[in-house]
Amino acid sequence: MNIPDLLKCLTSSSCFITQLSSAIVIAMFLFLAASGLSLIFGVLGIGNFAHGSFYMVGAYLTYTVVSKFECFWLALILAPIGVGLLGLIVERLLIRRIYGEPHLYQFLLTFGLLLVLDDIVRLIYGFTFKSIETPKIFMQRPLFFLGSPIPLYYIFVFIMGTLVALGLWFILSKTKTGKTINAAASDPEILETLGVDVRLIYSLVFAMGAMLAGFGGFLSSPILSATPGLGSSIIIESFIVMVIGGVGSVGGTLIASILIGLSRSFGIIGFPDFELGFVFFLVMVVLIARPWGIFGRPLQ
Amino acid sequence: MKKSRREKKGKAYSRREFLKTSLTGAAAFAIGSSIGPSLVKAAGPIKFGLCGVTSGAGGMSGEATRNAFTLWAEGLNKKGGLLGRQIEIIQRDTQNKPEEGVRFTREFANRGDIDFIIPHGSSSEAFAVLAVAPEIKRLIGSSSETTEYTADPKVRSPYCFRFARNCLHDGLVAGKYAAEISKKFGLTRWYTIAGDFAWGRDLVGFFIEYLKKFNPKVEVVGQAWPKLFEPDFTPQITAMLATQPHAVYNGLWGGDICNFVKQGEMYGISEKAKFFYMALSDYLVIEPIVKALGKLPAGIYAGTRYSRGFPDTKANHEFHDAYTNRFGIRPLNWSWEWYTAALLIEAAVKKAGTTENNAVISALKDLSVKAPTGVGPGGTVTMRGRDHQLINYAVGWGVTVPGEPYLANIVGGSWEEIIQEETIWLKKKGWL
Amino acid sequence: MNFIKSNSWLIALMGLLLLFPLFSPSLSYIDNITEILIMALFGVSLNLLLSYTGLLSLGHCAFFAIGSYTTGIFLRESSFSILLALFSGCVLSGIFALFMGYFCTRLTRFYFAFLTLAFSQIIYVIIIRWGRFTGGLQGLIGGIPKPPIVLFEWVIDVSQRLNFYYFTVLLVCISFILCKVITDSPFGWVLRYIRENAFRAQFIGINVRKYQVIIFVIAGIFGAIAGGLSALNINGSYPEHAHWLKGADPIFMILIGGMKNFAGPIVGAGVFIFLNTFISSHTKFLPLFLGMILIFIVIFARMGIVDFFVVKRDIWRKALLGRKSKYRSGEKY
Repeated sequence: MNIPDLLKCLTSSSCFITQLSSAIVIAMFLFLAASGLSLIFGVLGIGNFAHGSFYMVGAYLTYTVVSKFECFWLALILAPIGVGLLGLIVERLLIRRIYGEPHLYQFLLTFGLLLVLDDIVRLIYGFTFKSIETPKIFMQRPLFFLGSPIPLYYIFVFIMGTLVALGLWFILSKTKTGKTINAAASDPEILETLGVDVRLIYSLVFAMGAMLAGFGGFLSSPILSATPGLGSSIIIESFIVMVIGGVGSVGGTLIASILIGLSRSFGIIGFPDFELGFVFFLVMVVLIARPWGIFGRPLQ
Repeated sequence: MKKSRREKKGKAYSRREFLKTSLTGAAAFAIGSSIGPSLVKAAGPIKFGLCGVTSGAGGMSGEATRNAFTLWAEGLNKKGGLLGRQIEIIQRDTQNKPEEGVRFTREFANRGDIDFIIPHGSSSEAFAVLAVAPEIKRLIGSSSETTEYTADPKVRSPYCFRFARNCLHDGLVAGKYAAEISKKFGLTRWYTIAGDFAWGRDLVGFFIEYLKKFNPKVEVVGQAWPKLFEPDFTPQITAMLATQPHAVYNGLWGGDICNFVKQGEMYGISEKAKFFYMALSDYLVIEPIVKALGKLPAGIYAGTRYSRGFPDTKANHEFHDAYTNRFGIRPLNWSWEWYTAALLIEAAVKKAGTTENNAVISALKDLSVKAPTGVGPGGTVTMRGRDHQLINYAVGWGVTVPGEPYLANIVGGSWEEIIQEETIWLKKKGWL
Repeated sequence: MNFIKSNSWLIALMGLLLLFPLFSPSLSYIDNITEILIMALFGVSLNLLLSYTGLLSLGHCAFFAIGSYTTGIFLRESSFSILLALFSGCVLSGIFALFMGYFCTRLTRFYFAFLTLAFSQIIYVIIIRWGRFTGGLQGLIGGIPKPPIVLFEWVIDVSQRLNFYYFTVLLVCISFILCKVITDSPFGWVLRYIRENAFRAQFIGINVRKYQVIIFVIAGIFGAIAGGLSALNINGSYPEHAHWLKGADPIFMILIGGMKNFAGPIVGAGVFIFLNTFISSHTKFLPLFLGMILIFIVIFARMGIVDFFVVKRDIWRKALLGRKSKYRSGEKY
């Protein structure tokens, strides 16, 4: 435990701002990885263990697009769409068969998918680290805010993440599609009797969730090398964010991501040895005291 | 009447049930216990049984190991093989599970036809296999870099050989080099960042010990231990910059270095402090960084892992070119280590005149052989007999340059000095 | 008499295994069977939760790790005998299972599963941080001493592979029989009732949580025995044992072997280990094939191997004995 250093950082404006900014960046990536997971779980009732792999595929697709077309911004469109398509295929072929089934089969199917995806990228791309050329626009001097350097790229991530969060919130609460999705989450049978094709909604939601993860993968490519095994390394954290934030809640996922980001960012100063355990401890406390998370619906 | 008939039938059922299910169980066990021992061993091919990580995040180690042995075996097979027998390579995936490493090792030992067992997995696997080596009584090779494997007399085994570099040697050479640079440029505030696993912890420990020994004026202002394969180093980078170090020792590995460098460049870290990277010069790392940043940032201090230009000998160039042409990727650290292991085993087998493991073990002790990365007399490496540790391999530090050969002004560690310091350390530990 | 009848195949199995080395003294089979038996016990202990009580526990590896490390640490640091060290592993694991079960059973389905996973990862973190005892990330290196077991006048040296094999067979088969007795008892039938409909069970007055916690502790104890045996088998304990990826292995085994029969995890363990060896000897893409097999099984072939054979047996019985057959397919699940 290193409380003195932690207090020193909290009281020094430059240290505080820098760590806060890195916390927010971590939170943005976590949010992108977990929001799709939360959406899928909330509407379809499936805990998708392969969700981290969608993130990974997004990063790899970005690498392919940038290698072939030399344009980072093209990947902004192509990568999430590509992962969305993958999600659609997966949903139609595989996920569809386990709706309503015992959770055991959901876990096993998505876990099998995790194994398959993590190895397929190895088959296609090999085991070397795939890196894209950092776009020139991000290689400028960092901006200074209250004495702390904040790289342009992270500002970009912040803007993108916020846009996605706002967009998602807007779609889910203000548009007709969003309201249909909400309805499908709470009472799919009634919805079906109203003539809505619930199956289509499910496919749409799964593809959306996959796209969110794919977008996260795209966004992380300037600073992350794509490597096989990326999928399984981020899935547990994504679940933790989902559980803490509350299933199906965009705001909850965002707040939980920020919480984890803060605990990581200040944790490496204050309690470096327990930082990993702290996150698990946090999710345990939430599951024991308030299992439905911050903004979730209370379980019946 | 009904009762007794049912009773009789009850007994019949239980007999049938008993037969059917226990036969099923027995069949499953027979299948599950794999290939039986081959009773014929004599004139068939010489088989090397490799087991280690070939899938997932650490899969490159398995691939590099297999490549190294394949390159060596193909070369030798063309010339008629070893002792007139062709060489065959078998590999199994342990998925980074120590018990799988033990299981495959035992299986290799129990099959009559595997001549040499090479568990090339992570350090955990290496130690797990070490723990059962006395029971298997076969030659075990390892690429684990954890010092205890060969240095601790209570842990090491007469059957196990480390065909690789070791954290003590690396940390020592790094510490000494860094101490010289720190004296030259007045770098007194040091920060370390390394992955939170055995190799990282060991390496940094040794580095700091020798840095302080050769330049007592340095102070360590902070340390960071991100977990292995951590995707995001931003909080560590910012925390590091906050301590305003003069120099940073980076003991990260592989993809983590790529990510760290990319993320660090966003903050312009290479201008804020002098960086010393343990494992940057691995081609596996250099190529993605060059791709990402357009060029390798110059002026970074990096330790050698495997470089075509170090040692700058024809043998090394030939090895590099042959490997790259054959496999399409450049040699990694494991590549030179296991290639050297293959050369040593080849020499030991020729010296002993047999592949019988005990004879080869005796022949290996203090054996010297010409190797691409050998810096001993005549370009040789030596397998030290006292503790089965490889010595006289190329280890050094240099400064990065933007293009090929990426590392210049390489200063090799002096093996006299390394062994001298090593002896002092071992005596202090009471291990010598 | 009833006991022998319903457990006849288990007793026969034990007998078969004990006599096996006389026919095939080659260590190759013996080593593999030891490995399979340990994994099978791990699978059977999880099956108590999964198939009989309907609880998907993703954190079962925690008990394996606790058993493994406790046995290892006590044998290295104190003068405990092997049986006492294993027993300590069971005690510690049982206590942890009590604690874990108490909190986890407050939740259902996914949340239950995830909380068990969180608990197991806390154990993982404790293992890698408590370096003084557990060796941290390195694990327990340097071997685990195996003091000879002294029973009355016999001295059994378990460091010999063959003796260790007999020891494992005895311990594992006795554990199997104990587990079978538990699942065949009225207690076991209450668990099945809870599995079918916990709400209805609560409604008729069964204290569902009490039963769930009790079976949790029992599963934890047997999981710890498997862990302790594993530590003895590979002469060390490693933090990988507590990682959640390992917790998925026994579930895979249970699925392959069949969830409706006690023998399911046992056969599943054999098949799982065989698959690992077989696939890995033909391709370097082991996870790809394992994943595909898993997906295939979940979609097309949920009936495990043992279930398949049992159904076939029941069909034959019915065909041969007609109306007089007292067995209906799937009845004794």
